[in-house]
Amino acid sequence: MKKRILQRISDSAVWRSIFRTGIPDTDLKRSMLMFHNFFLHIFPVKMKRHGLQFSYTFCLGGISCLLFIVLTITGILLMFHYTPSIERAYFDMQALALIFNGKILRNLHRWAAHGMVVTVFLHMVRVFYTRSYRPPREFNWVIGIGLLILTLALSYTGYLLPWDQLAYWGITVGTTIMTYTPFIGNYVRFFLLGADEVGHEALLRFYVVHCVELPLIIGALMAVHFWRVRKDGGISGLL
Amino acid sequence: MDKNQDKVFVKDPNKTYGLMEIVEGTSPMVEKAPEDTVDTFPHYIILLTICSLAVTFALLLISLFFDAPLEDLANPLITPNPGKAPWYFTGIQELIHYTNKPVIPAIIIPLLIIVWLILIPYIDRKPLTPFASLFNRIFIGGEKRRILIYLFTLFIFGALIFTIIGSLFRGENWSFVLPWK
Amino acid sequence: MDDKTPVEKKPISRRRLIAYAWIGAAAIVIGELIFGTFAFLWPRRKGTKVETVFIVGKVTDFKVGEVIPFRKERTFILRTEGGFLAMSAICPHLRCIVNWNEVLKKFECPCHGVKFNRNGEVLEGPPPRPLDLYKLQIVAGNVVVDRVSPIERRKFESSQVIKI
Ligand code: HEM
Ligand code: FES
Repeated sequence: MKKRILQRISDSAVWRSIFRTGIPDTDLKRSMLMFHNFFLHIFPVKMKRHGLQFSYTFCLGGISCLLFIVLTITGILLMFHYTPSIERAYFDMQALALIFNGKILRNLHRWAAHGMVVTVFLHMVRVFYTRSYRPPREFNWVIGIGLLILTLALSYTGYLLPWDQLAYWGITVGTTIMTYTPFIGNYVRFFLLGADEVGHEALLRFYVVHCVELPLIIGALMAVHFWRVRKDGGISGLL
Repeated sequence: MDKNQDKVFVKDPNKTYGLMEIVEGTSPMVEKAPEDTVDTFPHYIILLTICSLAVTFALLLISLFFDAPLEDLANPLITPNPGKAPWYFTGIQELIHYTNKPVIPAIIIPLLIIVWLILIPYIDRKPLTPFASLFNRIFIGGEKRRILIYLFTLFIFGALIFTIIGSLFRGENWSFVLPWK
Repeated sequence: MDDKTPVEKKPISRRRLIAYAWIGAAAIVIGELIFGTFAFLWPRRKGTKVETVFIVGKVTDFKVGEVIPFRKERTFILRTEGGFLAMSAICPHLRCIVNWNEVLKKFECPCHGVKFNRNGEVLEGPPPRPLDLYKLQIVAGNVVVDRVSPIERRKFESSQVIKI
Protein backbone atom coordinates (compact mmCIF):
# COMPACT_ATOMS: atom_id res chain seq x y z
CA MET A 1 0.00 0.00 0.00
CA LYS A 2 2.73 2.44 1.02
CA LYS A 3 4.74 1.47 -1.99
CA ARG A 4 1.75 2.11 -4.16
CA ILE A 5 1.29 5.67 -2.88
CA LEU A 6 4.95 6.49 -3.40
CA GLN A 7 4.71 4.98 -6.82
CA ARG A 8 1.67 7.07 -7.63
CA ILE A 9 3.37 10.26 -6.50
CA SER A 10 6.60 9.60 -8.30
CA ASP A 11 4.73 8.65 -11.43
CA SER A 12 2.59 11.75 -11.42
CA ALA A 13 3.07 14.34 -14.12
CA VAL A 14 4.07 17.07 -11.67
CA TRP A 15 6.74 14.96 -10.00
CA ARG A 16 8.07 13.85 -13.32
CA SER A 17 8.21 17.41 -14.56
CA ILE A 18 10.52 18.25 -11.64
CA PHE A 19 12.61 15.14 -11.06
CA ARG A 20 12.37 13.22 -14.36
CA THR A 21 13.30 9.89 -12.76
CA GLY A 22 10.88 7.90 -10.66
CA ILE A 23 11.82 5.85 -7.62
CA PRO A 24 15.44 4.84 -8.19
CA ASP A 25 14.90 1.10 -7.94
CA THR A 26 16.96 0.02 -10.92
CA ASP A 27 20.56 0.78 -11.76
CA LEU A 28 19.43 2.69 -14.80
CA LYS A 29 17.19 4.94 -12.75
CA ARG A 30 19.94 5.40 -10.16
CA SER A 31 22.29 6.56 -12.86
CA MET A 32 19.63 8.86 -14.28
CA LEU A 33 19.04 10.30 -10.83
CA MET A 34 22.68 11.37 -10.59
CA PHE A 35 22.85 12.46 -14.18
CA HIS A 36 19.69 14.49 -14.52
CA ASN A 37 19.91 16.41 -11.28
CA PHE A 38 21.70 19.73 -11.38
CA PHE A 39 23.08 19.44 -7.88
CA LEU A 40 24.07 15.80 -8.10
CA HIS A 41 25.59 15.89 -11.55
CA ILE A 42 28.89 17.19 -10.17
CA PHE A 43 29.32 13.63 -8.92
CA PRO A 44 30.05 10.78 -11.29
CA VAL A 45 27.40 8.11 -11.75
CA LYS A 46 29.75 5.42 -10.57
CA MET A 47 32.65 5.70 -8.17
CA LYS A 48 35.68 3.64 -7.41
CA ARG A 49 35.00 1.61 -4.32
CA HIS A 50 38.18 2.57 -2.50
CA GLY A 51 37.39 6.25 -3.03
CA LEU A 52 34.57 5.83 -0.54
CA GLN A 53 36.90 4.44 2.08
CA PHE A 54 36.76 6.82 5.04
CA SER A 55 40.27 6.01 6.26
CA TYR A 56 41.74 7.22 2.98
CA THR A 57 40.30 10.74 2.70
CA PHE A 58 38.80 11.16 6.19
CA CYS A 59 36.25 13.24 4.24
CA LEU A 60 38.41 16.28 5.01
CA GLY A 61 37.93 18.00 1.67
CA GLY A 62 34.21 17.38 1.82
CA ILE A 63 34.01 18.67 5.39
CA SER A 64 35.91 21.82 4.35
CA CYS A 65 33.33 22.35 1.62
CA LEU A 66 30.45 21.72 4.01
CA LEU A 67 31.90 24.21 6.50
CA PHE A 68 32.22 26.75 3.71
CA ILE A 69 28.53 26.28 2.91
CA VAL A 70 27.62 26.68 6.59
CA LEU A 71 29.76 29.83 6.73
CA THR A 72 28.06 31.28 3.66
CA ILE A 73 24.58 30.69 5.05
CA THR A 74 25.27 31.96 8.57
CA GLY A 75 27.37 34.81 7.19
CA ILE A 76 24.59 36.07 4.96
CA LEU A 77 22.18 35.93 7.87
CA LEU A 78 24.58 37.85 10.13
CA MET A 79 24.94 40.55 7.48
CA PHE A 80 21.30 41.50 8.09
CA HIS A 81 22.22 42.67 11.58
CA TYR A 82 25.66 44.15 11.04
CA THR A 83 26.79 47.64 10.08
CA PRO A 84 30.41 48.09 9.01
CA SER A 85 31.09 51.31 10.89
CA ILE A 86 33.24 51.83 13.95
CA GLU A 87 30.35 53.48 15.76
CA ARG A 88 28.00 50.55 15.32
CA ALA A 89 29.84 47.33 14.56
CA TYR A 90 30.70 46.39 18.14
CA PHE A 91 27.25 47.23 19.45
CA ASP A 92 25.59 45.32 16.63
CA MET A 93 27.62 42.34 17.77
CA GLN A 94 26.46 42.80 21.34
CA ALA A 95 22.88 43.22 20.22
CA LEU A 96 23.00 39.81 18.55
CA ALA A 97 22.55 38.34 22.01
CA LEU A 98 19.11 39.94 22.14
CA ILE A 99 18.03 38.59 18.78
CA PHE A 100 16.36 35.22 18.50
CA ASN A 101 19.06 32.72 17.49
CA GLY A 102 21.51 35.61 17.08
CA LYS A 103 24.13 34.17 19.39
CA ILE A 104 23.86 30.69 17.92
CA LEU A 105 24.37 32.04 14.43
CA ARG A 106 27.39 34.03 15.49
CA ASN A 107 28.84 31.00 17.31
CA LEU A 108 28.21 28.78 14.30
CA HIS A 109 29.93 31.27 12.04
CA ARG A 110 32.91 31.63 14.37
CA TRP A 111 33.46 27.96 15.14
CA ALA A 112 32.91 26.88 11.54
CA ALA A 113 35.55 29.40 10.49
CA HIS A 114 38.09 28.01 12.95
CA GLY A 115 37.07 24.50 11.96
CA MET A 116 37.58 25.23 8.29
CA VAL A 117 41.16 26.41 8.87
CA VAL A 118 41.80 23.13 10.69
CA THR A 119 40.14 20.82 8.16
CA VAL A 120 41.70 22.51 5.13
CA PHE A 121 45.12 22.16 6.71
CA LEU A 122 44.52 18.53 7.64
CA HIS A 123 43.19 17.89 4.13
CA MET A 124 46.50 19.13 2.77
CA VAL A 125 48.34 16.85 5.20
CA ARG A 126 46.29 13.85 4.07
CA VAL A 127 46.87 14.63 0.40
CA PHE A 128 50.58 14.84 1.13
CA TYR A 129 50.88 11.56 3.00
CA THR A 130 48.79 9.63 0.46
CA ARG A 131 51.01 11.22 -2.21
CA SER A 132 47.90 12.20 -4.14
CA TYR A 133 49.59 15.21 -5.74
CA ARG A 134 51.42 13.12 -8.32
CA PRO A 135 50.65 13.57 -12.04
CA PRO A 136 48.04 14.30 -13.30
CA ARG A 137 47.04 15.95 -10.04
CA GLU A 138 49.96 18.41 -9.67
CA PHE A 139 47.99 21.47 -10.54
CA ASN A 140 45.11 20.55 -8.28
CA TRP A 141 47.59 20.61 -5.42
CA VAL A 142 48.62 24.12 -6.47
CA ILE A 143 44.97 25.19 -6.55
CA GLY A 144 44.69 23.64 -3.09
CA ILE A 145 47.52 25.82 -1.79
CA GLY A 146 45.63 28.80 -3.18
CA LEU A 147 42.53 27.63 -1.31
CA LEU A 148 44.52 27.28 1.92
CA ILE A 149 45.85 30.84 1.64
CA LEU A 150 42.40 32.19 0.78
CA THR A 151 40.89 30.35 3.74
CA LEU A 152 43.40 32.01 6.07
CA ALA A 153 42.74 35.39 4.45
CA LEU A 154 39.00 34.93 4.84
CA SER A 155 39.40 34.05 8.48
CA TYR A 156 41.72 36.98 9.11
CA THR A 157 39.56 39.61 7.41
CA GLY A 158 36.57 38.37 9.39
CA TYR A 159 38.56 38.79 12.57
CA LEU A 160 38.37 42.61 12.37
CA LEU A 161 34.62 42.85 11.92
CA PRO A 162 33.46 42.59 15.58
CA TRP A 163 35.60 45.68 16.29
CA ASP A 164 36.64 44.54 19.74
CA GLN A 165 40.09 44.70 21.32
CA LEU A 166 41.15 41.32 19.88
CA ALA A 167 40.12 42.46 16.42
CA TYR A 168 41.74 45.87 16.58
CA TRP A 169 45.12 44.71 17.83
CA GLY A 170 45.21 41.53 15.78
CA ILE A 171 44.81 43.61 12.62
CA THR A 172 47.14 46.38 13.79
CA VAL A 173 49.96 43.92 14.41
CA GLY A 174 49.25 41.83 11.32
CA THR A 175 49.23 44.75 8.92
CA THR A 176 52.32 46.28 10.51
CA ILE A 177 54.16 43.05 9.78
CA MET A 178 53.44 43.76 6.12
CA THR A 179 55.32 47.04 6.34
CA TYR A 180 58.51 45.02 6.70
CA THR A 181 58.10 43.74 3.14
CA PRO A 182 61.03 45.23 1.25
CA PHE A 183 60.30 48.32 -0.89
CA ILE A 184 56.49 48.21 -1.03
CA GLY A 185 55.69 47.43 2.62
CA ASN A 186 54.25 50.79 3.64
CA TYR A 187 52.16 51.04 0.48
CA VAL A 188 50.70 47.56 0.98
CA ARG A 189 49.59 48.46 4.48
CA PHE A 190 48.21 51.82 3.39
CA PHE A 191 46.30 50.18 0.57
CA LEU A 192 44.84 47.43 2.76
CA LEU A 193 43.83 49.72 5.59
CA GLY A 194 42.75 52.62 3.41
CA ALA A 195 44.48 54.91 5.91
CA ASP A 196 47.56 55.11 8.09
CA GLU A 197 45.89 53.42 11.03
CA VAL A 198 43.20 50.83 11.59
CA GLY A 199 39.98 52.80 11.50
CA HIS A 200 36.72 53.21 9.68
CA GLU A 201 38.28 52.83 6.23
CA ALA A 202 39.97 49.58 7.24
CA LEU A 203 36.73 48.18 8.65
CA LEU A 204 34.86 48.97 5.44
CA ARG A 205 37.58 47.48 3.26
CA PHE A 206 37.83 44.31 5.30
CA TYR A 207 34.05 44.02 5.30
CA VAL A 208 33.78 44.11 1.52
CA VAL A 209 36.72 41.77 1.06
CA HIS A 210 35.39 39.35 3.68
CA CYS A 211 31.77 39.31 2.60
CA VAL A 212 32.05 39.56 -1.17
CA GLU A 213 35.44 39.30 -2.81
CA LEU A 214 37.06 36.38 -1.05
CA PRO A 215 33.94 34.15 -0.94
CA LEU A 216 33.49 34.65 -4.70
CA ILE A 217 37.10 33.84 -5.46
CA ILE A 218 37.21 30.85 -3.13
CA GLY A 219 33.92 29.56 -4.55
CA ALA A 220 35.25 29.73 -8.09
CA LEU A 221 38.51 28.04 -7.11
CA MET A 222 36.61 25.31 -5.28
CA ALA A 223 34.57 24.65 -8.41
CA VAL A 224 37.77 24.23 -10.41
CA HIS A 225 39.22 22.05 -7.65
CA PHE A 226 36.26 19.64 -7.70
CA TRP A 227 36.11 19.66 -11.48
CA ARG A 228 39.73 18.61 -11.63
CA VAL A 229 39.27 15.88 -9.01
CA ARG A 230 36.67 14.35 -11.36
CA LYS A 231 38.61 14.95 -14.55
CA ASP A 232 41.64 13.30 -13.00
CA GLY A 233 39.60 10.18 -12.41
CA GLY A 234 38.32 10.70 -8.91
CA ILE A 235 40.23 10.06 -5.72
CA SER A 236 43.75 8.84 -6.34
CA GLY A 237 44.51 5.14 -5.94
CA LEU A 238 46.01 3.55 -2.87
CA LEU A 239 49.78 3.77 -2.70
CA MET B 1 13.84 -26.76 -19.51
CA ASP B 2 16.85 -28.35 -21.06
CA LYS B 3 15.37 -27.91 -24.45
CA ASN B 4 14.73 -24.24 -23.83
CA GLN B 5 18.26 -23.65 -22.70
CA ASP B 6 19.57 -25.37 -25.71
CA LYS B 7 17.68 -22.89 -27.81
CA VAL B 8 19.17 -19.89 -26.04
CA PHE B 9 22.73 -21.11 -25.95
CA VAL B 10 23.11 -22.10 -29.57
CA LYS B 11 26.72 -21.96 -30.60
CA ASP B 12 27.48 -20.35 -33.85
CA PRO B 13 30.68 -21.95 -35.18
CA ASN B 14 31.51 -18.74 -37.10
CA LYS B 15 31.61 -16.59 -33.98
CA THR B 16 34.23 -16.40 -31.27
CA TYR B 17 31.65 -15.35 -28.66
CA GLY B 18 28.30 -16.57 -27.54
CA LEU B 19 25.70 -16.22 -24.81
CA MET B 20 26.92 -18.20 -21.80
CA GLU B 21 24.60 -17.56 -18.92
CA ILE B 22 21.59 -15.54 -17.82
CA VAL B 23 21.85 -13.80 -14.45
CA GLU B 24 19.33 -11.97 -12.29
CA GLY B 25 19.86 -8.24 -12.17
CA THR B 26 18.35 -4.80 -12.56
CA SER B 27 20.74 -3.70 -15.26
CA PRO B 28 23.14 -5.17 -17.74
CA MET B 29 25.96 -4.94 -15.17
CA VAL B 30 27.62 -8.00 -13.77
CA GLU B 31 28.62 -8.19 -10.14
CA LYS B 32 31.97 -6.48 -10.47
CA ALA B 33 33.13 -4.02 -13.06
CA PRO B 34 36.79 -4.23 -14.04
CA GLU B 35 37.54 -1.06 -12.08
CA ASP B 36 35.70 -2.13 -8.96
CA THR B 37 33.15 0.68 -9.01
CA VAL B 38 29.91 1.16 -7.12
CA ASP B 39 26.88 3.27 -7.84
CA THR B 40 27.14 6.80 -6.50
CA PHE B 41 23.49 6.58 -5.58
CA PRO B 42 22.97 5.16 -2.99
CA HIS B 43 26.45 4.20 -1.73
CA TYR B 44 28.11 7.60 -1.82
CA ILE B 45 25.02 9.74 -1.28
CA ILE B 46 24.29 7.94 1.97
CA LEU B 47 27.86 8.51 3.19
CA LEU B 48 27.66 12.15 2.19
CA THR B 49 24.38 12.65 4.04
CA ILE B 50 25.58 10.94 7.21
CA CYS B 51 28.87 12.84 7.22
CA SER B 52 27.19 16.21 6.60
CA LEU B 53 24.59 15.63 9.28
CA ALA B 54 27.20 14.52 11.80
CA VAL B 55 29.40 17.55 11.21
CA THR B 56 26.47 19.97 11.27
CA PHE B 57 25.16 18.41 14.45
CA ALA B 58 28.55 18.56 16.17
CA LEU B 59 28.89 22.19 15.12
CA LEU B 60 25.44 22.99 16.51
CA LEU B 61 26.30 21.37 19.83
CA ILE B 62 29.56 23.30 20.08
CA SER B 63 27.75 26.53 19.27
CA LEU B 64 25.13 25.84 21.92
CA PHE B 65 27.66 25.40 24.69
CA PHE B 66 30.55 27.67 23.75
CA ASP B 67 30.11 31.32 22.99
CA ALA B 68 32.38 33.09 20.54
CA PRO B 69 34.52 35.62 22.40
CA LEU B 70 33.71 39.32 22.28
CA GLU B 71 36.10 41.49 24.25
CA ASP B 72 35.89 45.17 25.08
CA LEU B 73 35.24 47.77 22.42
CA ALA B 74 38.32 48.42 20.27
CA ASN B 75 40.52 51.01 21.93
CA PRO B 76 43.54 52.35 20.04
CA LEU B 77 44.98 53.68 23.30
CA ILE B 78 45.33 50.42 25.23
CA THR B 79 46.80 47.16 23.99
CA PRO B 80 45.41 44.11 25.79
CA ASN B 81 48.08 42.25 27.65
CA PRO B 82 49.07 39.82 26.17
CA GLY B 83 48.09 41.05 22.69
CA LYS B 84 47.66 37.93 20.62
CA ALA B 85 47.09 37.23 16.96
CA PRO B 86 44.38 34.72 15.96
CA TRP B 87 45.53 31.23 16.92
CA TYR B 88 46.61 30.22 13.41
CA PHE B 89 49.12 33.08 13.43
CA THR B 90 50.42 32.70 16.99
CA GLY B 91 53.15 30.41 15.66
CA ILE B 92 54.45 33.28 13.53
CA GLN B 93 54.01 35.68 16.43
CA GLU B 94 56.07 33.34 18.61
CA LEU B 95 58.81 33.29 15.97
CA ILE B 96 58.66 37.07 15.66
CA HIS B 97 59.44 37.56 19.30
CA TYR B 98 62.81 35.79 18.92
CA THR B 99 64.25 38.19 16.38
CA ASN B 100 64.53 41.92 15.82
CA LYS B 101 63.99 41.44 12.08
CA PRO B 102 60.29 40.63 11.74
CA VAL B 103 60.70 40.34 7.97
CA ILE B 104 62.32 36.91 8.37
CA PRO B 105 59.66 34.99 10.31
CA ALA B 106 56.70 37.02 9.05
CA ILE B 107 57.38 37.37 5.33
CA ILE B 108 60.38 35.37 4.14
CA ILE B 109 59.73 32.08 5.94
CA PRO B 110 56.01 31.85 5.05
CA LEU B 111 56.76 32.78 1.44
CA LEU B 112 59.49 30.15 1.20
CA ILE B 113 57.19 27.54 2.71
CA ILE B 114 54.44 28.39 0.21
CA VAL B 115 56.85 28.22 -2.72
CA TRP B 116 58.20 24.91 -1.45
CA LEU B 117 54.68 23.51 -1.02
CA ILE B 118 53.74 24.58 -4.55
CA LEU B 119 56.88 22.97 -5.95
CA ILE B 120 56.38 19.62 -4.20
CA PRO B 121 54.39 17.94 -7.01
CA TYR B 122 56.81 19.27 -9.60
CA ILE B 123 59.93 17.85 -7.99
CA ASP B 124 58.42 14.61 -6.70
CA ARG B 125 58.01 12.89 -10.06
CA LYS B 126 59.81 10.26 -12.05
CA PRO B 127 63.21 11.75 -12.95
CA LEU B 128 63.89 11.60 -16.67
CA THR B 129 67.30 13.28 -16.96
CA PRO B 130 70.43 12.72 -14.82
CA PHE B 131 70.08 16.24 -13.49
CA ALA B 132 66.47 15.63 -12.46
CA SER B 133 67.61 12.42 -10.87
CA LEU B 134 70.17 14.26 -8.74
CA PHE B 135 67.61 16.91 -7.89
CA ASN B 136 65.20 14.19 -6.89
CA ARG B 137 67.75 12.50 -4.68
CA ILE B 138 68.54 15.73 -2.86
CA PHE B 139 65.02 17.07 -2.30
CA ILE B 140 62.85 13.98 -2.36
CA GLY B 141 65.05 11.06 -1.41
CA GLY B 142 64.25 8.59 -4.16
CA GLU B 143 61.17 6.51 -4.83
CA LYS B 144 60.29 6.25 -1.13
CA ARG B 145 60.61 10.10 -0.78
CA ARG B 146 62.26 9.76 2.60
CA ILE B 147 63.68 13.29 2.68
CA LEU B 148 60.41 14.89 1.58
CA ILE B 149 58.42 13.03 4.22
CA TYR B 150 60.98 14.02 6.81
CA LEU B 151 60.82 17.69 5.82
CA PHE B 152 57.04 17.79 5.62
CA THR B 153 56.65 16.12 8.99
CA LEU B 154 59.14 18.59 10.41
CA PHE B 155 57.07 21.44 8.99
CA ILE B 156 53.84 20.09 10.45
CA PHE B 157 55.29 19.53 13.90
CA GLY B 158 57.20 22.80 13.83
CA ALA B 159 54.03 24.71 13.02
CA LEU B 160 52.12 22.75 15.67
CA ILE B 161 54.67 23.30 18.42
CA PHE B 162 55.15 27.03 17.83
CA THR B 163 51.41 27.54 17.55
CA ILE B 164 50.81 25.73 20.83
CA ILE B 165 53.56 27.63 22.62
CA GLY B 166 52.34 30.94 21.21
CA SER B 167 48.69 30.45 22.06
CA LEU B 168 48.85 28.54 25.35
CA PHE B 169 52.22 29.15 26.98
CA ARG B 170 52.50 32.91 26.60
CA GLY B 171 51.10 35.31 29.15
CA GLU B 172 51.63 38.92 30.12
CA ASN B 173 54.28 40.73 28.12
CA TRP B 174 54.74 37.51 26.15
CA SER B 175 56.54 35.84 29.03
CA PHE B 176 56.45 32.08 29.42
CA VAL B 177 53.55 30.77 31.52
CA LEU B 178 52.06 27.36 32.12
CA PRO B 179 48.42 27.24 31.05
CA TRP B 180 47.32 25.11 33.99
CA LYS B 181 48.60 27.55 36.60
CA MET C 1 52.69 28.50 -46.75
CA ASP C 2 52.29 32.13 -47.65
CA ASP C 3 55.77 33.24 -46.68
CA LYS C 4 57.17 31.79 -49.89
CA THR C 5 55.22 34.23 -52.06
CA PRO C 6 57.15 37.42 -52.86
CA VAL C 7 54.55 39.68 -51.24
CA GLU C 8 55.18 38.09 -47.85
CA LYS C 9 58.86 38.90 -47.95
CA LYS C 10 58.19 42.42 -46.83
CA PRO C 11 59.38 43.08 -43.28
CA ILE C 12 55.86 42.86 -41.89
CA SER C 13 52.72 41.67 -43.56
CA ARG C 14 49.47 43.50 -43.36
CA ARG C 15 47.87 40.63 -41.50
CA ARG C 16 50.67 40.57 -38.97
CA LEU C 17 50.40 44.30 -38.47
CA ILE C 18 46.69 44.14 -37.86
CA ALA C 19 47.12 41.20 -35.50
CA TYR C 20 49.74 43.14 -33.53
CA ALA C 21 47.46 46.13 -33.47
CA TRP C 22 44.68 44.03 -32.00
CA ILE C 23 46.96 42.52 -29.40
CA GLY C 24 48.29 45.93 -28.54
CA ALA C 25 44.82 47.36 -28.21
CA ALA C 26 43.74 44.47 -25.98
CA ALA C 27 46.82 44.93 -23.80
CA ILE C 28 46.10 48.63 -23.44
CA VAL C 29 42.48 48.03 -22.50
CA ILE C 30 43.34 45.32 -19.97
CA GLY C 31 46.19 47.36 -18.54
CA GLU C 32 43.91 50.32 -18.20
CA LEU C 33 41.27 48.24 -16.45
CA ILE C 34 43.79 46.89 -13.96
CA PHE C 35 45.44 50.25 -13.40
CA GLY C 36 42.04 51.95 -13.21
CA THR C 37 40.81 49.51 -10.60
CA PHE C 38 43.88 50.03 -8.47
CA ALA C 39 43.74 53.77 -8.85
CA PHE C 40 40.06 53.69 -7.92
CA LEU C 41 40.74 51.65 -4.80
CA TRP C 42 43.79 53.64 -3.75
CA PRO C 43 42.85 55.43 -0.53
CA ARG C 44 42.48 59.16 -0.44
CA ARG C 45 44.75 60.89 2.07
CA LYS C 46 42.54 62.81 4.39
CA GLY C 47 43.43 66.50 4.60
CA THR C 48 43.51 68.09 8.01
CA LYS C 49 43.45 65.42 10.66
CA VAL C 50 43.02 65.71 14.38
CA GLU C 51 44.96 68.33 16.28
CA THR C 52 48.53 67.08 16.66
CA VAL C 53 49.84 69.73 19.05
CA PHE C 54 49.06 69.41 22.73
CA ILE C 55 50.15 71.20 25.88
CA VAL C 56 51.62 68.79 28.38
CA GLY C 57 51.74 71.12 31.35
CA LYS C 58 54.00 73.52 33.17
CA VAL C 59 57.71 72.81 33.45
CA THR C 60 57.40 73.05 37.20
CA ASP C 61 54.75 70.30 37.31
CA PHE C 62 57.31 67.58 36.65
CA LYS C 63 59.71 65.99 39.07
CA VAL C 64 63.19 65.12 37.85
CA GLY C 65 63.41 61.47 36.77
CA GLU C 66 59.68 61.09 36.29
CA VAL C 67 58.01 59.36 33.34
CA ILE C 68 54.45 60.55 32.79
CA PRO C 69 52.21 58.66 30.36
CA PHE C 70 49.63 60.58 28.35
CA ARG C 71 47.22 57.87 27.30
CA LYS C 72 44.99 59.84 25.02
CA GLU C 73 47.91 61.30 23.12
CA ARG C 74 49.88 58.02 23.21
CA THR C 75 52.93 59.89 24.46
CA PHE C 76 55.36 59.56 27.33
CA ILE C 77 57.06 62.62 28.79
CA LEU C 78 60.40 62.00 30.46
CA ARG C 79 61.80 64.65 32.79
CA THR C 80 65.57 64.33 33.07
CA GLU C 81 67.88 66.55 35.04
CA GLY C 82 68.59 68.74 32.06
CA GLY C 83 65.21 68.90 30.41
CA PHE C 84 62.42 67.00 28.67
CA LEU C 85 61.98 64.16 26.19
CA ALA C 86 58.71 63.29 24.43
CA MET C 87 58.47 59.67 23.30
CA SER C 88 55.78 57.98 21.27
CA ALA C 89 54.04 55.10 23.06
CA ILE C 90 53.64 53.26 19.76
CA CYS C 91 56.03 50.31 19.77
CA PRO C 92 58.57 50.66 16.94
CA HIS C 93 58.23 46.92 16.42
CA LEU C 94 54.60 46.27 15.41
CA ARG C 95 52.73 49.28 16.72
CA CYS C 96 51.31 47.94 19.97
CA ILE C 97 51.00 50.45 22.81
CA VAL C 98 53.90 50.32 25.26
CA ASN C 99 53.27 50.57 29.00
CA TRP C 100 55.48 52.18 31.65
CA ASN C 101 56.25 49.86 34.53
CA GLU C 102 56.79 52.15 37.51
CA VAL C 103 58.21 49.36 39.71
CA LEU C 104 60.88 48.08 37.33
CA LYS C 105 61.40 51.52 35.76
CA LYS C 106 61.05 50.03 32.30
CA PHE C 107 58.74 50.33 29.31
CA GLU C 108 57.10 47.01 28.43
CA CYS C 109 55.29 45.98 25.28
CA PRO C 110 52.46 43.45 25.66
CA CYS C 111 52.74 42.07 22.13
CA HIS C 112 56.20 40.53 21.86
CA GLY C 113 57.60 41.28 25.25
CA VAL C 114 60.16 43.98 24.56
CA LYS C 115 61.58 46.04 27.43
CA PHE C 116 62.91 49.57 26.96
CA ASN C 117 64.89 51.57 29.49
CA ARG C 118 63.71 54.97 30.63
CA ASN C 119 65.40 56.68 27.67
CA GLY C 120 63.50 54.43 25.28
CA GLU C 121 66.41 52.17 24.35
CA VAL C 122 65.81 48.47 23.80
CA LEU C 123 66.97 46.31 26.72
CA GLU C 124 65.63 42.98 25.51
CA GLY C 125 63.25 41.82 22.82
CA PRO C 126 62.68 42.19 19.12
CA PRO C 127 62.15 45.88 18.18
CA PRO C 128 64.56 47.26 15.62
CA ARG C 129 65.05 50.70 17.20
CA PRO C 130 64.34 52.75 20.34
CA LEU C 131 60.99 54.43 20.94
CA ASP C 132 60.35 57.24 18.47
CA LEU C 133 60.59 60.88 19.57
CA TYR C 134 58.12 63.69 19.14
CA LYS C 135 59.02 67.32 18.69
CA LEU C 136 58.94 69.07 22.04
CA GLN C 137 59.19 72.76 22.76
CA ILE C 138 59.09 74.89 25.84
CA VAL C 139 56.96 77.95 25.32
CA ALA C 140 56.65 80.44 28.18
CA GLY C 141 57.13 77.81 30.85
CA ASN C 142 54.74 75.33 29.19
CA VAL C 143 55.82 72.04 27.67
CA VAL C 144 54.28 71.66 24.19
CA VAL C 145 54.48 68.53 22.07
CA ASP C 146 53.75 68.20 18.35
CA ARG C 147 52.97 64.64 17.22
CA VAL C 148 52.76 65.36 13.53
CA SER C 149 55.73 63.20 12.54
CA PRO C 150 57.60 60.80 14.82
CA ILE C 151 61.40 61.05 14.71
CA GLU C 152 63.20 57.73 14.39
CA ARG C 153 66.58 57.35 16.13
CA ARG C 154 69.30 54.77 16.51
CA LYS C 155 70.16 55.33 20.16
CA PHE C 156 69.72 57.79 22.99
CA GLU C 157 71.93 60.84 22.94
CA SER C 158 71.90 63.67 25.41
CA SER C 159 71.39 66.10 22.54
CA GLN C 160 67.88 64.72 22.12
CA VAL C 161 66.87 66.17 25.48
CA ILE C 162 65.24 69.58 25.18
CA LYS C 163 66.93 71.86 27.70
CA ILE C 164 64.85 74.09 29.88
C1 HEM D 1 38.80 25.29 0.66
C2 HEM D 1 39.61 24.32 0.73
C3 HEM D 1 39.47 22.93 0.07
C4 HEM D 1 38.35 22.22 -0.26
C5 HEM D 1 36.91 22.61 -0.03
C6 HEM D 1 38.80 20.99 -0.87
C7 HEM D 1 37.96 19.97 -1.31
C8 HEM D 1 38.39 18.75 -1.82
C9 HEM D 1 37.57 17.59 -1.99
C10 HEM D 1 36.09 17.50 -1.64
C11 HEM D 1 38.35 16.59 -2.50
C12 HEM D 1 37.94 15.15 -2.73
C13 HEM D 1 38.73 14.20 -1.81
C14 HEM D 1 38.67 14.46 -0.34
O1 HEM D 1 37.61 14.81 0.20
O2 HEM D 1 39.73 14.35 0.31
C15 HEM D 1 39.68 17.16 -2.70
C16 HEM D 1 40.76 16.49 -3.24
C17 HEM D 1 42.04 17.03 -3.39
N1 HEM D 1 42.49 18.19 -2.81
FE1 HEM D 1 41.34 19.57 -1.91
N2 HEM D 1 40.17 20.98 -0.93
C18 HEM D 1 40.63 22.16 -0.36
C19 HEM D 1 41.94 22.52 -0.18
C20 HEM D 1 43.04 21.79 -0.64
C21 HEM D 1 44.42 22.02 -0.26
C22 HEM D 1 44.87 23.05 0.76
C23 HEM D 1 45.18 21.11 -0.97
C24 HEM D 1 46.66 20.91 -0.97
C25 HEM D 1 47.54 21.81 -0.92
C26 HEM D 1 44.27 20.33 -1.80
C27 HEM D 1 44.66 19.35 -2.70
C28 HEM D 1 43.84 18.35 -3.16
C29 HEM D 1 44.23 17.27 -4.04
C30 HEM D 1 45.64 17.08 -4.68
C31 HEM D 1 43.11 16.43 -4.19
C32 HEM D 1 43.03 15.13 -4.98
C33 HEM D 1 43.25 14.06 -3.94
C34 HEM D 1 43.13 12.67 -4.48
O3 HEM D 1 42.88 12.51 -5.67
O4 HEM D 1 43.31 11.75 -3.65
N3 HEM D 1 42.98 20.75 -1.55
N4 HEM D 1 39.67 18.48 -2.26
S1 FES E 1 54.78 45.33 19.03
FE1 FES E 1 55.96 45.82 20.74
S2 FES E 1 57.24 44.11 20.89
FE2 FES E 1 56.17 43.67 19.06
